[in-house]
Amino acid sequence: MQSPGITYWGRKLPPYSWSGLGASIKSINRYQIGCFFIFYLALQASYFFGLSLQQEFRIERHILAVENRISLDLPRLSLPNPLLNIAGNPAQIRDYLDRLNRLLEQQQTPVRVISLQQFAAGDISDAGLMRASEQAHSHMQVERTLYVPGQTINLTMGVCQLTFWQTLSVFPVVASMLLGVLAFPFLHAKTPEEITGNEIVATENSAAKNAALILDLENKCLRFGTAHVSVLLANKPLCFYAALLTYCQRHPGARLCQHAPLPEELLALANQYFLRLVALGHTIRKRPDFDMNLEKMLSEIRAALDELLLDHPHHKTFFYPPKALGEGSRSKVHNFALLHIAEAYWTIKGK
Amino acid sequence: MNDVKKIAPASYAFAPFFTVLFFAAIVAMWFAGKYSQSEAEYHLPSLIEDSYTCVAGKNVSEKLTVYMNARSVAPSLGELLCSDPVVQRQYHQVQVYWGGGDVSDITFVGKGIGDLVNTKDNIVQAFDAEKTHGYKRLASYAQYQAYLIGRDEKPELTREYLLGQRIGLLDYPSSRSGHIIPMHLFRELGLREDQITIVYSNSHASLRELLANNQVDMIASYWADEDRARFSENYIQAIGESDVRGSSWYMKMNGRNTDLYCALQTALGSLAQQQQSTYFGDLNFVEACPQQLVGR
Repeated sequence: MQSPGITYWGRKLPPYSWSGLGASIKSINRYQIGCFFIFYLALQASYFFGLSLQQEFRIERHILAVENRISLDLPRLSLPNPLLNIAGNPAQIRDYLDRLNRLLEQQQTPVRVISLQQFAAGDISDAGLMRASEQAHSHMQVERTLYVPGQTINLTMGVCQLTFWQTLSVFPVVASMLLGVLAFPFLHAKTPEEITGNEIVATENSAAKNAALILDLENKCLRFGTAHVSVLLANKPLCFYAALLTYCQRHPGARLCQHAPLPEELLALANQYFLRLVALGHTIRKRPDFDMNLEKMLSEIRAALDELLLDHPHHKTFFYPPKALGEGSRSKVHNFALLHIAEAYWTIKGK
Repeated sequence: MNDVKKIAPASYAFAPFFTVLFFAAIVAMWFAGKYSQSEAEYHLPSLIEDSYTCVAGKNVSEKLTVYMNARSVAPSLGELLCSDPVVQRQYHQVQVYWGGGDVSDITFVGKGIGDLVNTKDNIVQAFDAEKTHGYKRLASYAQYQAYLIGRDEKPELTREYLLGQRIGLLDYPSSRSGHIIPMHLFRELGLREDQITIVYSNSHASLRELLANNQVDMIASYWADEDRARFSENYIQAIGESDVRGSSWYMKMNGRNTDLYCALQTALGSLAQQQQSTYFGDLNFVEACPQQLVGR
């Protein structure tokens, strides 16, 4: 009985278990980590811009509130006015600015008044007017001008900027992890079942294209890389080699011996490819028995590959069914499986 | 070698869904950043105080409005008045305003707003406030002499000496020693304002600062005992009359409210005792209280 599994966007996800979780964590590859960081950077940037915009807005409102307060209090402030022979009262102005700064500190605003006209407020860093948490912040100086009839009032304020750490948050981390969890099933290494259809080696890497073996069912030939050389192969070895490639890809480390019965799956694959040849109109003959004349079939395949990989002998390691060495071709231990096929680029055209 | 092939999606059907999800997350993060900060308070209440208020009587609704120039003394006077039985009987509240110069003086005296005001006689005279609003002088602070105070030498009252000198004056024109008398002197000597350098200041204390810092050659002010610590009494030159009267307390007499007259005299007398070492310590009453309520 098939156990119910969680499906996500048409994909059946593996059942949840602690050991499965551990295996999933171990299976995270560098591309997935890269994707996570791309998500994180995008979300953190978005968070930063939202925060910065709001901070700018808040600072401007605080500055306007301070301007408004000082403007309303100006008639009561004894500021100097040379035109009217008014000397001004520096002590009153300093006391006023200090009280205003204390109020701003109590309200936890990021703005402090530095000076009004030529009168500087007490040192905002010494007079307990700056919170301990603000000491490490960088401060920006903002200058504003208030226009009253016959006089211009200069107002200088200090604005406490956000630190780098304040622009970071746990939200982008959590959100990028969630996005990663949703995206990772599609970025996991594919199971052999997934490597089907007309999928061609998906890569932009020209080196990979150049080193790819193409088994063309439509033209009944083998090609290698981007070279135009192709080697024709008979129906039976062609189908068997296609089945061998597919089988070895699915079962890394499989053992295939001439004297042991061939795996059912391999034979089924070979039959499938033969039926495909029939469908493509290459033959009307009945299905051959792939279990027979195995040595001859392998020889034909090796001969074709010898011709094809004449200029690329080192690629034989991946595609060449190993010959018996020393133990004799009829040895029971000889394994002709393609052991390194998982590391190579290959595809079957016309499936 | 086949890693790239391995991570290629098996199906691209999820791509639109994931793209929408990704951009939704981007927008959500933007809002998360925008609303991550706590609500701020943008309202700044007024910081400038201009009066001291205390409650006197309970069964009345009238308010006694007092006006004076010195902020430091205002709360003491307010408490003295609020604790007075006559004030408690007649007023619910006492509000003592402290002024911001001649403009406030003119407002409180000229418009008759203050029930008890401390101002200069020339302001009261300027508005004929004794007749207009019924102000009656209660008491005055001690008479004093106006001086030109030099820093390194005794100033001479000659045109030749004063030409080109830097002279510190008060910037409010109602001050007798700091503005009216020296200006009168300059005019008598035929000195125009462009022939001397007048440096204005806000108070007698800041005039002394100017002189001590050598920003002026002399200042026009009164002489107090504590000035001996900083300046020489040999370098002061009396100017004008010798009986410049200090500021006075005026009461707005509505009818013949002698109880209040005496109560205010008592409070001002108590204030003078409290402030013996300052300008407010030397108070002279115009006429005695008929019921001998004054403690002095």
